[in-house]
Amino acid sequence: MLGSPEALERRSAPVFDPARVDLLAHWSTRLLADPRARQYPDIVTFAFWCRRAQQERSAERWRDGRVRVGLGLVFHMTPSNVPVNFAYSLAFAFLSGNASAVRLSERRSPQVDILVQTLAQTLQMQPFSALAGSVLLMRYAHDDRVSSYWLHNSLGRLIWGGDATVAAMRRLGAHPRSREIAFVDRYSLAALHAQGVLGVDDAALGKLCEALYNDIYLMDQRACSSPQLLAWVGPKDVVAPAQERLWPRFLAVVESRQQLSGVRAVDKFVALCNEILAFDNLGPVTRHGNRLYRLPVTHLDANQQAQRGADGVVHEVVLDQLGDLVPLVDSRVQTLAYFGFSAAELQSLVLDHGLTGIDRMVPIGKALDMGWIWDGYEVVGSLSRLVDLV
Amino acid sequence: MSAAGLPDHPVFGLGAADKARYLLAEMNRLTAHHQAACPPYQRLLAGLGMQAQASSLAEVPFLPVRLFKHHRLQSIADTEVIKTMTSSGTSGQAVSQIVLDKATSAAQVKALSRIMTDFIGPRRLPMLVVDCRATVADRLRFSARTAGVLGFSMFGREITYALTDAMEPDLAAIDDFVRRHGDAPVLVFGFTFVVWKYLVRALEQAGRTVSLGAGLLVHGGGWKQLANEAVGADEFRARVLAATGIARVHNYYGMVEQTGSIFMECEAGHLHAPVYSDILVRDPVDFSPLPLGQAGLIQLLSVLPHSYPGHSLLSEDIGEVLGEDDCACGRRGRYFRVHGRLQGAEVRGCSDTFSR
Repeated sequence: MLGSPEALERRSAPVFDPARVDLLAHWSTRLLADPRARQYPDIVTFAFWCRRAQQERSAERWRDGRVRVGLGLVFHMTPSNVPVNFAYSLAFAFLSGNASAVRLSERRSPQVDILVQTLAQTLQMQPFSALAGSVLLMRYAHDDRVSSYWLHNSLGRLIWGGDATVAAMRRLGAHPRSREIAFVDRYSLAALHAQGVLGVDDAALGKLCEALYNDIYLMDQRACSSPQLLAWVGPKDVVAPAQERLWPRFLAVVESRQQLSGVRAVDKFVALCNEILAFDNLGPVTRHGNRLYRLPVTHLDANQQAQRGADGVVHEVVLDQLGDLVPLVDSRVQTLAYFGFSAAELQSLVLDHGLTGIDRMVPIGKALDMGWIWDGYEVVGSLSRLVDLV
Repeated sequence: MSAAGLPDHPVFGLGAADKARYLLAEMNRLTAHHQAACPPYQRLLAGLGMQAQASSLAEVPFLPVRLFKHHRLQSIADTEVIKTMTSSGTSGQAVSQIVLDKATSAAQVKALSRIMTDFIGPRRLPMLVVDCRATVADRLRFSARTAGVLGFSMFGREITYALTDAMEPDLAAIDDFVRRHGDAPVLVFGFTFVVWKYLVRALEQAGRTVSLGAGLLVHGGGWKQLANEAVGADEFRARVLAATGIARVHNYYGMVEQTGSIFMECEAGHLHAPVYSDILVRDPVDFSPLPLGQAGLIQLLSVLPHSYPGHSLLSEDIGEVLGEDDCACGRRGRYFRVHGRLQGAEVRGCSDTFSR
């Protein structure tokens, strides 16, 4: 789709090499100026993340005078359902100083087309054409021989797509020196401090509702960072009025922003029925049409992570304190989106309990934000190597 | 089945007010029965926050029809089960399981019989099945088609199969059937796409016609394949007439999750609710009841399901109610049109389905 295996240069470059920052910045500008691209919020978000100011900020922490370079060639297996993720994946490896062979999904999407076209245009220009040999974008039907070739001939591999895809790729083996960044199935949740919700003024409440909407409804609640469980923290007599304050306001946001199709509504309803039959710790649902289902969780179950919904299903639990989440947290837990908690409280949640999960804690509204620290990986660190010059 | 059995009301004779009263009472009775007899159903009612006793048909609790593909829902003891019907899904999909006892099965047969009598008269007619014998003879091939053919075969005699086991028109058999029955009324039955593809289209391609002018065609099973060829009901009818001479064509709408109380197309081209069943239409996004003339998700109500909680089901078909009691054909009851299936949509998220 872009580039060729023959032209691929298996070379490393310094991390956040200025020429590469320039290229991404140019791509970003091109995207933000493109009227077609502007119709897609996910493209706009990516372009925004790639812009020079943002990259310079991220680069800061790596400019410590040490010799840090990319691994060489990195192979990417990108997901079929999230069009923009291949671009993040490519950018991660590119700015970490690598050449990339990226397998895009066979599923067509307008976003992919726009991203590939604009990147191609950028690579045709001077001085960016000098970097054309560090980008290969491919599309091929799932083929173990082809994938195996790339896995054994690259020094890094980014595998998106959940447990099944990761397992399939691992079965094919890899180059002995190859580093793996694998995005397996994860579980995410949100925590609201009840008193905090009661205490904010109306404008802040409105902002919180818009932010919570973004976390739950963008990506249809199917992303690994989409919150499945919503934990209210506080005494019951504080939680109840907080719920009464939040939900009607939240519902108004959902009704004005959500596009729900009939088929999704039916899918949601069927999934709800299946959940009711499968789990013993759920109270009667509160359905707001089909736009929002609030399922009361009477107590956190050993099976809690299996309780998931899509398109707006909130599993709602009331806890006395944040620490009551601990039994739920294992290595599958990725994102905790929070409101009303201090950094100290959040840190101590992880540190005091020796948690093996929760990779990121972000304010509500930022759950889906992709960044250099992702899924517990410090991406630059994982895709680059330090040359020890003594 | 209730102690009362099937109602004595004429199949298409009950007016709106009486029908609503009768049906609501039956729905409430059935909801209570299933709530007591089927623990998963009771859990669903509680979990969904639906009240067992409704004060209007729109308030009767409903289950999504797809649920029967995921769960075997049963309101009778295992010892009472005489048959489990399954739907034929597209390959790879789960199939629905519908559990029947003697009473429910008998009621289904009786209801279908009374409905059919209203259309074809009380006597069994010579019957031409537009399918191959293997559909019923081959145990391994049991499907919705098998169930349909067997079910409707009760209304026929001297059953002849119009297709060879290779699914080609068996012209010798058809011609013999025509010769034997002359101008007397005959019943022709088949699944819509089978009739279309393996009889009508096959005859057209062979440049042949058959003479079944006295025949009445009953067909069902969905229009999806024909929709793919952009063939609608009117064109189907016209091409059936041209290829076979059959002028009386009756589509029927139904599903394995509610057999027996099917909806037959009348002479005016409308699907009719018999006294044993009814339909409501709901907004596909929020499931609120819709008025006449507005298209939405079809909910089917039937007094027949005693052995399984299938008396009130939300389908995945889109349709609209056209009227009630005032159809040109003279039958009372609600009449409606089915537009087709709810359209599919793409799924998003980080997790790939690796097996494309």
